[in-house]
Amino acid sequence: MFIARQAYIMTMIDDDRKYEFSWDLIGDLEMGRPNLGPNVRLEVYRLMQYVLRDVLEQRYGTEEADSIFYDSGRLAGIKFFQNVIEDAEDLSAFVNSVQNALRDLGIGIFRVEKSDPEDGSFVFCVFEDVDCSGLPDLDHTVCTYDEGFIAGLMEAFTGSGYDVKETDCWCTGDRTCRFTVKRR
Amino acid sequence: MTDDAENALRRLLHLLNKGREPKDAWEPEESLEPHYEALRDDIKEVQGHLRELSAGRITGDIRTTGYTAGLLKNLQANLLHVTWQAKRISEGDLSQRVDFLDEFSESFNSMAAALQANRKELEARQEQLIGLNERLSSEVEERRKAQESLALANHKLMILSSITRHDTLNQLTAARGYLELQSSLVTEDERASRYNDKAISSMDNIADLIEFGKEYEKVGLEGPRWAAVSSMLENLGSGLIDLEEDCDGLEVYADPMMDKVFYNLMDNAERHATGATLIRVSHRMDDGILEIIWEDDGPGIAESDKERVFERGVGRNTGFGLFLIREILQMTGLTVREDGKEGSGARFVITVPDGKHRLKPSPCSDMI
Ligand SMILES: [Zn+2]
Repeated sequence: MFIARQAYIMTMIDDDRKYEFSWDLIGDLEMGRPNLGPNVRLEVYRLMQYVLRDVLEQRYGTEEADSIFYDSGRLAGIKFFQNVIEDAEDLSAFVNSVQNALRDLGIGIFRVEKSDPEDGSFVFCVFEDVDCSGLPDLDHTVCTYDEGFIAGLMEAFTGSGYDVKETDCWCTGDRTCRFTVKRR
Repeated sequence: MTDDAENALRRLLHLLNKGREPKDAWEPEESLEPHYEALRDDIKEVQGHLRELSAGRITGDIRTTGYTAGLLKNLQANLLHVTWQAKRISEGDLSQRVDFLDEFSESFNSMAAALQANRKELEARQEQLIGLNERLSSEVEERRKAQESLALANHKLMILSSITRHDTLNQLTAARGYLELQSSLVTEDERASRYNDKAISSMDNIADLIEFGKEYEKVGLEGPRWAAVSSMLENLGSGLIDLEEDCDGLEVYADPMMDKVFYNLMDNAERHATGATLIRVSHRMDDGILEIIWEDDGPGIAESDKERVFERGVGRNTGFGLFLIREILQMTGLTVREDGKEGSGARFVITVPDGKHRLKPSPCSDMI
């Protein structure tokens, strides 16, 4: 089943769009930041994420805000797969590649707990997750963007749609984020 | 702290250390009950999970939250991941690596890398072997083809020489007949009849040469085989010379023309061993080397002729017999020499190297 790399994006071509994402928007980091370099403190990333979430929730409600976060993550996952993840012939190579990329870019420590490619079900863990590690305990998981991100990666790699749910999160006192992944 | 509380805590600790469920450690006052119960249940659950994990059952669902439970989940996630990695390795995927698990990562990764290197080396060697094998089989194939064309060429040559021989002998017979007729006519000049006789004798020699060619051609034509010495000696004795032998069960690995060796030795004796009455064929084994000894009771061979007799054309007849013997024996590494004493008979010794002779038990031997 992991044979074709049939990434597809459902975004429609729309001439009226102002912010349609393309990898070019990441910019030329070497040229743009010769002194400061490509890194920025995690606080800044989280500041942006959580205020954005705040405003989205105020304006559209919790459910819609989560949905927007999930979809953004999914689009990011697809783009990330296309631009960063090395060509992978099989699941093992894909896992290796994701593990390396997430480690090298400081996103998190990616680990597989279970994989059943036939059934299309997986359990992935991300330790030291960029979004939630170190956050105070809450009564809910927070890595909605990561759920979408993993769904996007799987979708781009396999060509099938996936549902991803975070079952454990740093914020629920679990010290690691655990995601169940299921083919639709 | 009240005595009650202190006792309860002591009791709780005691139960914890004994690995027992801390259920009835304390009967708290009503306001403290929910806190106490929560604490008790947490401890109970953590204990339960630790028990499961330490027994190797790592897939259990940990539903508690909080720092301690989080650590447990961390441990569980790591164990599950490592198990998954080990499974990949057992399925032959050696590309997996474990990050950030300290010494474990190091040993796991170096093990996987070593396995991967080993496998690569094995694969390279296998490839080498396959290549070698392919080269070998193509060489074998080439050799087979060469052998085939050689056999074909041989076959053609045989046919050609057989036809030539046949026709030459016919012509020779005709020419000899005419010469004989002419001898009866030419009478006045004594020289003419002498020359005629010489020409006839030359023609007989030519016929002998052609006969020899016929035999010699067959040497080495077919692969060697095992032959019983006794059966080759059978029926060799003539009316004049008897033959005795002690070579029962002895077999030699030789050219299919091997029987001609003994035939020619007998022919040689009949022609040259004037007055001989007995041939004795015996054998001797020395350090894996077999010697077959052929002796007659004729006049023997002069010291100076011992080697020369094996040369082509030496001898009172056509002188091809002993030459042919050597050629036949040589096909499988056998040799022959003459080492008799002049005056007490000829003695031919055939030497058979180790591996080229064997003793076949006679069919009656196990009845004794
Ligand atoms: Zn999380």
